[in-house]
Amino acid sequence: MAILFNETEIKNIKILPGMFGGPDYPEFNYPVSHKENYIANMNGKGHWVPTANDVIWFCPTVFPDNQAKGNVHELLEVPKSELGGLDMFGVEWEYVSEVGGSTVRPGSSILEDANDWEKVLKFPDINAWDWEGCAARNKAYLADSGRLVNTVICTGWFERLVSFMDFAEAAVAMIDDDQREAVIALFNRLTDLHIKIVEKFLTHFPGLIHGFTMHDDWGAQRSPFFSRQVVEEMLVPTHKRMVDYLHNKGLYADFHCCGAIDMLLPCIDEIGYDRIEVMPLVNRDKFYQTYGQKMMLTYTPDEVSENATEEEYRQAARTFVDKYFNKGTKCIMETYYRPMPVAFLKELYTYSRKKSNSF
Amino acid sequence: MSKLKEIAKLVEKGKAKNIEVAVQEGLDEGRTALQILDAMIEAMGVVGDLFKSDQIFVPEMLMAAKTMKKGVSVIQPHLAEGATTSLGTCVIGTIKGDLHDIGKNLVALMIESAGFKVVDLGVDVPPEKFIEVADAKDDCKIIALSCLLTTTMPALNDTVEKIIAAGLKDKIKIMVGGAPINVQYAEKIGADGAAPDAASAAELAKKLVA
Repeated sequence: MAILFNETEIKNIKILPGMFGGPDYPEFNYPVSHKENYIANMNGKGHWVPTANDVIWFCPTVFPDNQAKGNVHELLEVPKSELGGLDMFGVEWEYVSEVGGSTVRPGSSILEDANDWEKVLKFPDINAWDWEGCAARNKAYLADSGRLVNTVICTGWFERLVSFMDFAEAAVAMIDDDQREAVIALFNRLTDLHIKIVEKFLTHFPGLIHGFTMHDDWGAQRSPFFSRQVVEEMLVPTHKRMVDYLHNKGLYADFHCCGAIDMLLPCIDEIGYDRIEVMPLVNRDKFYQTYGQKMMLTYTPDEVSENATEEEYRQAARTFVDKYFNKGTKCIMETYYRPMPVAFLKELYTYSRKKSNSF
Repeated sequence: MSKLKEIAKLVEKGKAKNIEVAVQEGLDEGRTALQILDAMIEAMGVVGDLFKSDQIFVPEMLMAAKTMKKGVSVIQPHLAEGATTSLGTCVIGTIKGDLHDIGKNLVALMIESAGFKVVDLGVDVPPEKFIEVADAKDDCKIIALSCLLTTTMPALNDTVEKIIAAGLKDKIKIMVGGAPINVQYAEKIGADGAAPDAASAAELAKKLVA
């Protein structure tokens, strides 16, 4: 049932600092919690357009990959100078502050032939990680936030293979008849590990985590890395096992995938992800038409000129709402690739709140 | 199917396991090493076209290049000194401050497969290194600079400026590439060209030295 918009929702609003170094954003007098609104959006009857700021991306240091990849989001602050380092497999990552992420220095691969993975790779003992300490400092914060809490497995299957082998060798291993079976076995073993990590989070943060984002880049600026057939054979089954597990636990299963991956969207649909994060170069309007009712996309707003007036920003917000926030479809707005100013975000909230009255 | 066509098909399909035998058979049947090399270079041109039109993707292109390399290793002893079809040397690397090498490696492979000798300087390469290595090679025709990050675009500009200031522009063409780079930017900073993908980069390299 729609909750009618009330003008008091936009009175005396607070302006909060943006996440991930993004611009400030307004905090309104919401009629329901962020979490309730997110779930309502997932059910095609949102109360307003949520943005990435409405979700807590919980990436604690207890999971070594988060610090290695420069992707720490929890109450423990890690100085930028300490980001990077070893991930859970002992692979060294170098943090690049200009982009806010890490890369494995080229030429430092630890696996030459995928067939050797069982001999070469040392899987982590996740029981030895300080889960208690992590829970002690973060539990109250997560419980009180009123937001949906999403945790990220920030190096997925192909990305992990790249971290072991370097890109070119990993890409070849995906189609090389002599290595494909070994790659599939490795991916399955990684899925087992991901599931165990999720179980640890659920044990130490009972009821506080609502979804996981699996991170696996499948494309570059111009096209996907692989054909649809390769993705179907090598990646879909293992992703699907992960997603089915998350769904069985009552969790949202989300997917972050960089690159021009339009032609792989049917694979993502087949896997059954609830929400996907893509780059603005993916055709969002086409995605909305094809998958808007089934999957939530983290939609990037259209570009606004550098010298735009506040009214032009407000118009851009209304355009966004008109295009992507409709009854029966699922929508969230991303704030990373194309961050928007407070004027846009105020209108986004107000206009979508009013529109939701008819849902 | 003639042996040269068979060799070309093996390269196109990335059949690395079978190429050495086929190339040896070609030599045994009286084909010259140069004929075989030309057939493989032509096949890589087809691979480039298939890649540009999204009929094949990165792994298939890499497998084709790997296959060609294996084929070349068989004919190498039969290529007389100076009798190669080499189009010259291309010195390639990712510019200073940038650690990304995926695109650079693909471009290096495709340029090599197009008939150039490639000297790959790796990542995070200072301008002075490009100049030193290119200057030392008599047959250096191209310096190819890769840059993924918008934050390292100024370093790209700086590298091009220093190559020009070193007086190399008369004998060497400068190619630039990477996600944030386009032809307009290449022209603006004084480079000779930019290409949107590895296959196009190989074509551009051939055009620049023609």
